[in-house]
Amino acid sequence: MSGPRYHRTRRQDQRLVGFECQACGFVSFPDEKRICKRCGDAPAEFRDVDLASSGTIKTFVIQEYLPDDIEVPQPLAIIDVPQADGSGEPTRVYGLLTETELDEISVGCTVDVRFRELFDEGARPINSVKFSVPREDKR
Amino acid sequence: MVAIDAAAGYVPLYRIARSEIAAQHGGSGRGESAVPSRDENHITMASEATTAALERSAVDADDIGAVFAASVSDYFAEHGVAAQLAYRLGAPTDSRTGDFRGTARAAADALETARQYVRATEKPVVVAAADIMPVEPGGDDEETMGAGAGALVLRPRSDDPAATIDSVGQATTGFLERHREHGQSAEQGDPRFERRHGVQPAVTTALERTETDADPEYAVASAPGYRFVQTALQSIDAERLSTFNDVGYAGTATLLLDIAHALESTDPGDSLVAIAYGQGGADAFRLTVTDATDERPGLSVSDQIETKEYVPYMKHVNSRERYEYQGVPNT
Repeated sequence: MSGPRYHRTRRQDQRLVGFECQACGFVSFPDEKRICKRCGDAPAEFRDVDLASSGTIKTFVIQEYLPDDIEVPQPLAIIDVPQADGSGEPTRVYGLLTETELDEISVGCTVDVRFRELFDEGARPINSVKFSVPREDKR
Repeated sequence: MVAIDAAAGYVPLYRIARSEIAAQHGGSGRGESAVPSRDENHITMASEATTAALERSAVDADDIGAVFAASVSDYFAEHGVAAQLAYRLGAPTDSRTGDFRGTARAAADALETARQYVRATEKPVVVAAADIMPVEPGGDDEETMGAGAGALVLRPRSDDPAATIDSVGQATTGFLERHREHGQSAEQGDPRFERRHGVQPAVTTALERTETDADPEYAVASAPGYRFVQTALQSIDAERLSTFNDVGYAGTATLLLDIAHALESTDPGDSLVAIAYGQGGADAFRLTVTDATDERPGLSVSDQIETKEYVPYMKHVNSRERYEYQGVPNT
């Protein structure tokens, strides 16, 4: 039964949405928490904020040993993504990279948000957010 | 008169050199064809094109009246593409959606329906097409089957449109020869017979019904085969613009992808005819290019054609099949 999975996360599967603490400005991702984990405000008041379409790699690992049905090497990165309108603080996102060769990434490099198939639920694909080096850098 | 407010295409990053396929099975080996990534599907590719088209358009998502989508290779008999695109774009929940399938002519059906919808309601419409054409190793059309997506934003009037749709002609002849079962490569039938009795009369009639005698400066044509395209355009004295040698035949996407490519490659005032031939008949759209700006958000089709990586033969075969993530947690 994949309907609840589709329905529950469909908004955040389309684009990156963060939750900004109205007490201290910390942006929670991916969940809206009851308590701000930076300032401890409880119950915290959060505001939905759209996140930008690109971010900066803070660190990454290369996964070499995964089940047969996942392409390896598979880069996995922690990425700082600013808010779409340029205001407030960036948030930290944990994301898979696609169409990215190992020699194309380094700490501090820019990656773009991509809408890709993350995995499937039964026969149905779950499309969500991944990252890649900008296509124009492939020239 | 309906305006194309914006257009955009999407070409996957990966390519198979047709010489790689020729090395396996023989063939001409000229050009290359687009190959999707393993994590791309019809929704993700169509989303790339529709998002770029809407960013280039002056239309707000809140004002979209309808989203129409075409595909002949969507994996699902029931699931739909248009409604998923509408939700992702942020279209209102009272917007009309429609999925067009079952013929290589489906993108033309979607485009003409969108044009009529705009005329009837005065609301903007997004029309998209996406396909990942299946191949059979060693099959007749393996070299030229591609993948991609295209999207147009139509509206009743626009201050700075990409083009206007001046007239449309269609010929529903009912002719059938080439056919394909779900997930299979096509049964070609007799291509010479189809060119002579299917393509040529349908396209000629569709062009006549545009009620414009003058030859356009440029022409694009979508048909499931290079020689079908040659036949479709043989009576028109125009420069042909095509992504066929770089992308291959991308199913229904080819029509909208080639229109987007043409609008990015021509100058204001140029005239363009776009022809679609598929099972059942043909359509002809006469356009006038009106947008002078070169500064469009996102990569142009030409840029996407230039930014590419080549894949080996087996990845070209495997990437066109629906992938099953067995053994992977799915929650």
